[in-house]
Amino acid sequence: MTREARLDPATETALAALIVVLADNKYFLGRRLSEWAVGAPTLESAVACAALAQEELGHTRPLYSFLAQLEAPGAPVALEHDDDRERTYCLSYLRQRFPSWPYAAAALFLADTALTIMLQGLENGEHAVLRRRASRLIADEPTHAKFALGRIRELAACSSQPALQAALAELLPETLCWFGPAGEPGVNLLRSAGYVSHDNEQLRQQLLDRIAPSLHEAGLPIGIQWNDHGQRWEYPALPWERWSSLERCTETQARTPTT
Amino acid sequence: MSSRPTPESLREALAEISDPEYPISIVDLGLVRGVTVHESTATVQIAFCSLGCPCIELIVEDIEQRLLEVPGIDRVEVEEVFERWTRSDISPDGLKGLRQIGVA
Amino acid sequence: MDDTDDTEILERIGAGKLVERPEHANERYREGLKRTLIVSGDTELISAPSYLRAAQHAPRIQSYISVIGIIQDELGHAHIAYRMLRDLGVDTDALIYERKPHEFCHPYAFDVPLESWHELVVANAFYDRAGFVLLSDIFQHTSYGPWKRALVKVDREETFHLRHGERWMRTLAADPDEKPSLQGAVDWMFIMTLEWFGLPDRLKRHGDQLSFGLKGLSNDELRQKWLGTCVPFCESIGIDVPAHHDPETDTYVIDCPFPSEFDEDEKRWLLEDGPIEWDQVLVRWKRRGPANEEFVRSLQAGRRELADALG
Repeated sequence: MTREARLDPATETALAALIVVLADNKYFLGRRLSEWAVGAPTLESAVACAALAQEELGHTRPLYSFLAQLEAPGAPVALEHDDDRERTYCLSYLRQRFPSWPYAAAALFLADTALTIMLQGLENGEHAVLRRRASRLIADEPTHAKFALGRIRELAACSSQPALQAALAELLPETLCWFGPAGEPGVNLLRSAGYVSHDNEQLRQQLLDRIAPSLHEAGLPIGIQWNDHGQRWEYPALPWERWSSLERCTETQARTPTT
Repeated sequence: MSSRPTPESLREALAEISDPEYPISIVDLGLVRGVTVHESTATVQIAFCSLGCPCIELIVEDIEQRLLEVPGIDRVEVEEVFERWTRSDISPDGLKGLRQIGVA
Repeated sequence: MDDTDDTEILERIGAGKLVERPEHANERYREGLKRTLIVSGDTELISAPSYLRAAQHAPRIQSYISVIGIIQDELGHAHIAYRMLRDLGVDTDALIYERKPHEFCHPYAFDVPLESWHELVVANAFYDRAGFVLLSDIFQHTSYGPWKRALVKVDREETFHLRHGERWMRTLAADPDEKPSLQGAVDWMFIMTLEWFGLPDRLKRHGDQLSFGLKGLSNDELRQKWLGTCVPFCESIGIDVPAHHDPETDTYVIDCPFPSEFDEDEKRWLLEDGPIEWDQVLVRWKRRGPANEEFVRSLQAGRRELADALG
């Protein structure tokens, strides 16, 4: 990197791992959204899915190019196709076609919000290049978040409510796991270098701050309670036994081939 | 014998490339953020209106093709800088062009 | 306005005035306009599943983004046409989501699936060019004000699609490994697009469409317009097409039996069997092509799912 001092190898590896996770998730989220340019329940939604897909896919460029500039040994290559690499680092539910429109809305709402929170962690960090790139990506996010929340509200108020709630219940645990267990060594390195502003549990709480009130408001109980005493969101036990900290997904579906 | 290419002469060449959708040049649109020449290699720094712009491949190839036509250039590198683009990056000439087709 | 008499509407159009609101026209005009808008909307809409399927062959993610951008444009254009239909009193939800696949009014060409990147970029260069020719004609000649204004944007976006197609065709044609596949795509898609423009003028009465100012040029004139840019482009990149310019008449002459029968499985024109009658073409069109059902169903999938949830 030009303007940054050379990182120590362990921090560099941790940074590369974080960036590839963000990029791969954006890549697959973009692919999945693009599939709903055909088949969304309204033309307006189809147009929006096409537009958001282009942006999510476009967001991979600043991330993958950063990764390339890091020149970390063994760093993964940029994805041009789903099967370019043996291993990808992405939420399991983004790896194959969303089976229904309510599922698509739930997946977009959760994954998009989680990615934005992680990017905000970088934007608030001290790595100048990453700060700028993260902030460029975040600038596109309000439109995405607005579209996702709009669909959640719409579906929660119609006969698709059960399907939506089921999808949210299925996808939320993995999304919460995505920030990683407390005290991950790689994250600790990035935090002590000042590149990430918060620890995993703080980020997880930020995600819940962002989604829980809207979901409650839309009448979608998802088993998340605000603990006034502890000033935190309480969530059910997470499936850590199935969590792959390497690929950042729950393992049951991690190897499902993409279509 | 033509003179050696300079950043200015390359910029003039770039000003001939129009955006794939709007009839104004990529220079007037404010996409070109830097031009350098080193021996026979031209490097163009470019920002796109949006990260999700569908015209990126077209624009990059247009730049490569046009600059390779400049005598003395046999290598072109297009480097995307991830700077933000806003409407205020459009030149006065560019705005005039856009107004003429009713989009500004 | 008197719905049985065309005098008033024809006078208005004859005076070069635009019809600004549906109630400024009579029933016959509105029906003609609706038919034209449905064909236009359906054609834009059906290109989305066709292009999306072929986009899976994109060589790079950036090429894929380009196609998704093109699809977004096409959906937007369809939306424009359907919105105008809604203003004309058509139930567009039913039109889009409840019609049976064979009731859609897009050209037969879009019922034949695109199965490679080569075919996709030829579609951008040929089909989108046909769309461009047809819409430019409407833009220049339509007597319906709302459509004329909406088409400014459409025209600009179709220019990008066309450039995308031409750029890729040029690239593939310059690569000896890719050129044969490109030529193969052109071999069936060129004639397919010729057919798109429909019955020749000697067989087709344009009556209402021309006198009501819903279009300006006849089928043969539009076909010539398409040939006028498509043939020189293909020649410039060393791709063979069965048509040439005749300097005597300054028109393009088709150098193969036309129309002819199409083998849908092989994607091949049975030129060796010689020309067929347009009646036979109409039979094939009415039967619709191999991907008709798949494409329409995929467009309607999300809506059908919601309807099922309603039980």
